[in-house]
Amino acid sequence: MNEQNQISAKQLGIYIIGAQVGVGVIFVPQKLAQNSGHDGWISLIFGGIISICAAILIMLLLQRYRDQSIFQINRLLFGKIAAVAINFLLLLYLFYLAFMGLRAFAEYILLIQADQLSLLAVSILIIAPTVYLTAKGLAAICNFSYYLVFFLGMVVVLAGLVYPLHWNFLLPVGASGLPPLIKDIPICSNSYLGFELVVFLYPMVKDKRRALFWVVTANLISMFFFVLVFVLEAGLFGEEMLKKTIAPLFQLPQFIRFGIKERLDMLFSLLWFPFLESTLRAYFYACYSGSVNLFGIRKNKMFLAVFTIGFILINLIPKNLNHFFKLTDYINYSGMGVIGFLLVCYGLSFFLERLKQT
Amino acid sequence: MKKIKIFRSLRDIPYKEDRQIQSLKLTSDCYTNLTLIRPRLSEEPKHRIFITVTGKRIFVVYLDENDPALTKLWDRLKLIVQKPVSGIHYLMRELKDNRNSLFPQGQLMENQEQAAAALAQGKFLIMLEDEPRLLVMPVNLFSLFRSNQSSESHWLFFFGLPLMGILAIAAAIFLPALFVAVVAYDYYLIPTNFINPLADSLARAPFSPAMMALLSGITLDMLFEASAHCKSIAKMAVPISAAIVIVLGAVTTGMISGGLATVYGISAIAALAIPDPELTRATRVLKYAAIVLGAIFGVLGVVVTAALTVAHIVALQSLGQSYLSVKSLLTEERLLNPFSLNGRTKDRGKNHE
Repeated sequence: MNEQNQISAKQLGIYIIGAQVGVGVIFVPQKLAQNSGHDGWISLIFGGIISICAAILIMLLLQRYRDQSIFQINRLLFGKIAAVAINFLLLLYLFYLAFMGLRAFAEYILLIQADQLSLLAVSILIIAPTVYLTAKGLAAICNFSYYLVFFLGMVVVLAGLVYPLHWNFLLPVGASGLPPLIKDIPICSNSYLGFELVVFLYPMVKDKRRALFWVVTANLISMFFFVLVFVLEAGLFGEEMLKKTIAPLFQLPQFIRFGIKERLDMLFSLLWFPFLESTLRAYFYACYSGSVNLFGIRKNKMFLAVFTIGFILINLIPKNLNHFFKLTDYINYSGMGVIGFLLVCYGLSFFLERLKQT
Repeated sequence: MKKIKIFRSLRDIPYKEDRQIQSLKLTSDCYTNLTLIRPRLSEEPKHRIFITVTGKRIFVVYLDENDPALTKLWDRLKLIVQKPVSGIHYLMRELKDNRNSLFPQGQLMENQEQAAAALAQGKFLIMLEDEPRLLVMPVNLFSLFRSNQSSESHWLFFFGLPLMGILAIAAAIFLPALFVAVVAYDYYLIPTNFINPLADSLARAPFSPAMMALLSGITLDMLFEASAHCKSIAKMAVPISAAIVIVLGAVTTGMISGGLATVYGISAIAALAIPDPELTRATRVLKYAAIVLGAIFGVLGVVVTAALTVAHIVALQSLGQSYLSVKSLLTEERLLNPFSLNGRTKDRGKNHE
């Protein structure tokens, strides 16, 4: 395998954090607040624990088939013809999430920045670093994400120092009761999606023994970050205002008491741009490399160019923001479907082994 | 009669520091250089000689034979020796991992102490016959900023200076572009009490902000080049006086905005604060890309340029080693005292055992 595409287990963890902490963190707090008020952070912890369990099971599945990605595992489990259909569906899922990542981010940029720019121009600008890094290989993508995690840590520290939190906005704990919290878990799963990408990248990981540790750690870090962002937002805005704010993350800088504060939120959101783009980057790369592997494409650069142009054109299909928001509803179902499918694969692998033994 | 000593030119005045530096300079003879560097190390350095088709010798000095980067270097040198090697710059270009990149992937050194420190950190010294400078490879972005410090500096400067260098790169590339983008599109980022004087100065200017930025950038680059071609003391005097005259004239006549002149001043100082000349040149080129994208797409364009630049640096390699990794900032603790014991980085030492 190409040296540029080989990564260590730690880099895999960074990649997963990049995929998880992306678009979800912008709009999930608001949705949580609408359901369970200021107790949303509890359901975020529930969702995190469930995602960690699912990630462990998926890693166990991968460890049973060493050096093989889900595409090859499907071939072993379901036979050649069924595997083609399933693999195609998996690719479609990756494409769909990458598409969602790009469009969501383009829409937010258009909302925040003045609307002199067209959707096409914004899409091309946003996707340019992703395409460049994809051409340079997986290792470059992971190294890029390293710096963003560094940046994230700095933001977290700054946030803790600067913001005057109203802790009483978060009290009493558990006021909403259990049913809304459980109802929220599917919404949370939206933001935790990203760890399932490991099934596509597993063959590229060099030290596979440590992969499980880093996948779990990545999930824990994302969980910590989500909870922190929710607590910050709920503690600053209060429950009622959080329900009405579309992108509460970008409203946070308004609370910094600086000399310059006019539209500081815009600068902040633009500085976040490379970080938030990481969701798009993670799914875009997974989809691209998956199709290269599956279809045995040799002219990689040509294919990347065609793939990118097609991707941008499809991105323009939803007519407006409302049309696009309707499409986002399927993220939850498709993500949970894929994770459910992977768990079924894990069960099936035991069953097939038993069959072989008897 | 009292004799008056007259200096022939200002150039002849010997500076105290200059004399000190002179004594540490490398010579153009490779064997002499080797003997000069050797006493500074606790371990005997190994060397290998390549002879080019024109009979010129290339020396490679290294400490660790098992380094994977070394095999890459051998492969490349074997190809290079088949061509006539004209000078150290040619060698530097040919040894690049990514030829199209503007960023330097090797470092030129003239000082024995620096060369010994680089060798002690596990880097390779590549010397060319009749050349008083040597090439150090592999490098990373942080080591480019550390080159001209003494090895006994306080630890704070070892971590602080690279970070300041990165700030300098960011200021040199993006400050003018940010100014253009903010003024042209996102003026609500400017504080209200500052917007009036700024708008005043911009309204008087005959050019658009982007045009102003491009023209000022070109003028500044011409000044840089002019100073490079001047001799001795004029090297400093010409650009300084020219810059003062131009900026004063341009601002008082209202040709360019005072805000832009200030921004360019900071950006020029930042570019000169970068110790590596090739890196300075790279920032000067990238500045134009940022201005053009910033003028077309606003702040988003500047941020995209920044993201692309970081992506490019992250993907770069020097002899197969990462050019910009967190590891390279944090694990060079041996740098604090490179001449102690066998002054190499920890993991390299382990490999050797």
